[in-house]
Amino acid sequence: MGSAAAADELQITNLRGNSVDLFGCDDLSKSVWRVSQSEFRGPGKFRGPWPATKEPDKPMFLRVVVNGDRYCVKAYLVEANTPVPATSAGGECQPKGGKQSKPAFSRGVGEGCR
Amino acid sequence: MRPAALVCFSVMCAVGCSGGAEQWKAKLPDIGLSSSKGEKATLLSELKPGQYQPSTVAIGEEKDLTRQRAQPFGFVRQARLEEFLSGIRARLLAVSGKTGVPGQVRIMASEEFNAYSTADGNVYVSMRCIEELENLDEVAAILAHEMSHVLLSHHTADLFADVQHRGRALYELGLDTKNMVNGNKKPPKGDRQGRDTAETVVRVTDKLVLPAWTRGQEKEADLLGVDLLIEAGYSPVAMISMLEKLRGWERTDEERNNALLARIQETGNQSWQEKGRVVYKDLLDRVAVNHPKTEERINETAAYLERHYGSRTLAEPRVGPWKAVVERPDVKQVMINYKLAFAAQAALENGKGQEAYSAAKKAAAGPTAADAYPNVVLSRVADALGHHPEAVSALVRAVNAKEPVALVYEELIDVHERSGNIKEALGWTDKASRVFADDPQWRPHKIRLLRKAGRVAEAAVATQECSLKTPDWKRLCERANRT
Repeated sequence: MGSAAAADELQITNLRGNSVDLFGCDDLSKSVWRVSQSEFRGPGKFRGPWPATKEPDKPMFLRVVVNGDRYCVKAYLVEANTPVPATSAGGECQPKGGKQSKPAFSRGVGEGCR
Repeated sequence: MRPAALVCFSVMCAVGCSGGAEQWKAKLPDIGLSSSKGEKATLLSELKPGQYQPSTVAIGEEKDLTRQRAQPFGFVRQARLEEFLSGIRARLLAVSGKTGVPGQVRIMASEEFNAYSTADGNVYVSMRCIEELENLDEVAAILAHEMSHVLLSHHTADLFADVQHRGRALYELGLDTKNMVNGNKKPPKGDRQGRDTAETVVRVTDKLVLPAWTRGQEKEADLLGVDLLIEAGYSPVAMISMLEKLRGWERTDEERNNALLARIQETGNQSWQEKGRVVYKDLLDRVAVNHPKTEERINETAAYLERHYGSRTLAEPRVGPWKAVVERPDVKQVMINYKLAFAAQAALENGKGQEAYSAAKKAAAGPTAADAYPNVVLSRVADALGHHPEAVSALVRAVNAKEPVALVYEELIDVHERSGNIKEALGWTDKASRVFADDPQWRPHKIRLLRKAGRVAEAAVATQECSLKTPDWKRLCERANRT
């Protein structure tokens, strides 16, 4: 795959739906690229998986690195390999360990709340 | 990813990304949903506002609640939790445009991750769901989905008939189990084996006597649910995370289903084995054929959300309000105790008697000391360990519980029948019939017991009455009359 990210790093492993817009993280109203499934799975610059991190101030988005550039994606339109830290909404929860495959939006608003 | 989803994705976006998104967005095919519903407009915008028209198969809100108590393990009554759920339900209905929608919310003592609604607008959510859902918005999502089935008038005579059919088939399977146990010449082993098998049947019943919506109906309920969430100020993405939890549960459940089938095979009774396997498989397949894959539902919900609300700033899921409820000491202790009761039952099934006993003792204490389900479990565990007086007193507490549990009545009828105390068994049958709003499931019991008591003429009358009043149960009643 396109990235040599560590196995325990948060990665986007699947796009949910036809395609996903990549936004500039400083302006989430503007789509910079639209990446299709075939591009995500194909050999080009948009090939996944994409390393990702949580956007602390924008819990509905994830920050991703695509071909060396940083973008933001809507969390509900992608699936990740591992639980994503909780949103800022509750504030009480911390991310859990574990490497099981998990859709991005299962982020824990609750992960680690047990 | 499942094949269906792959098919869906394979037709997506053959356009290359050689420029900014805005340039080629218009070239993309609008794949979206497999049917036109929800493509051009939201489902809420297509829902005709005004007075709610009750379903033709509605039997009345209260009667429905009473009947649904006959689900194997009954309800968990926790006032604060019910009040909280009812508040969410009301908020969702308020934005639907429909007025006069009947119904209440109840929590089922079930460890399956499920919820369902009935034609009377009542919504039933399992205790397992309550445990698994992690924020206010996920709770709202499951209620929004179920209320959408009600608002979209999905409860039709066909659906009702299908649920009834499966209920009868499972009842028959249970009846055969009892006959098998009663016919066993080796009481100690047979008793244990019979109990295990009966428990298997109950678990199967718990799984399958739920509405098996069509793919279209399930999808519509997801999508209208998203609309309701948005309009009521909840986070619509919770519909997706709730479905992800369902998917996670289904994966675990598949393993349990296979274990169930294996246990049916282990009963040692060949005819029952075959019958059990065929009926169970048939029922499971029927549900599976109609029920859409959760993966598809997640993708379709995400696509719908993006299509209609993608440009909006969506509300975030809120942990706080839900946590505030489930961590209240009174609510938390009830949840812990039911979790212990489920764990005790599982430990018992796995032959870990002492572990089961320890959990069951804790489960039937404090706020749930007088609840039916924890006491049923304690009774079973105590009985298995040879603590018979404790088993009896737990069963007495279960039968005297405020919320009746059909399973307790079934067990009492069975115990008395097997010990030859037919009069007592008949008494419990009559009582069960009263308690569960004359649910037809008690009729074959009554007919069989009347015959055993030598009251053949009364049995014949009861059989005729059964055939006339509840024609769906005719065959089972006639069969009972040949006992």
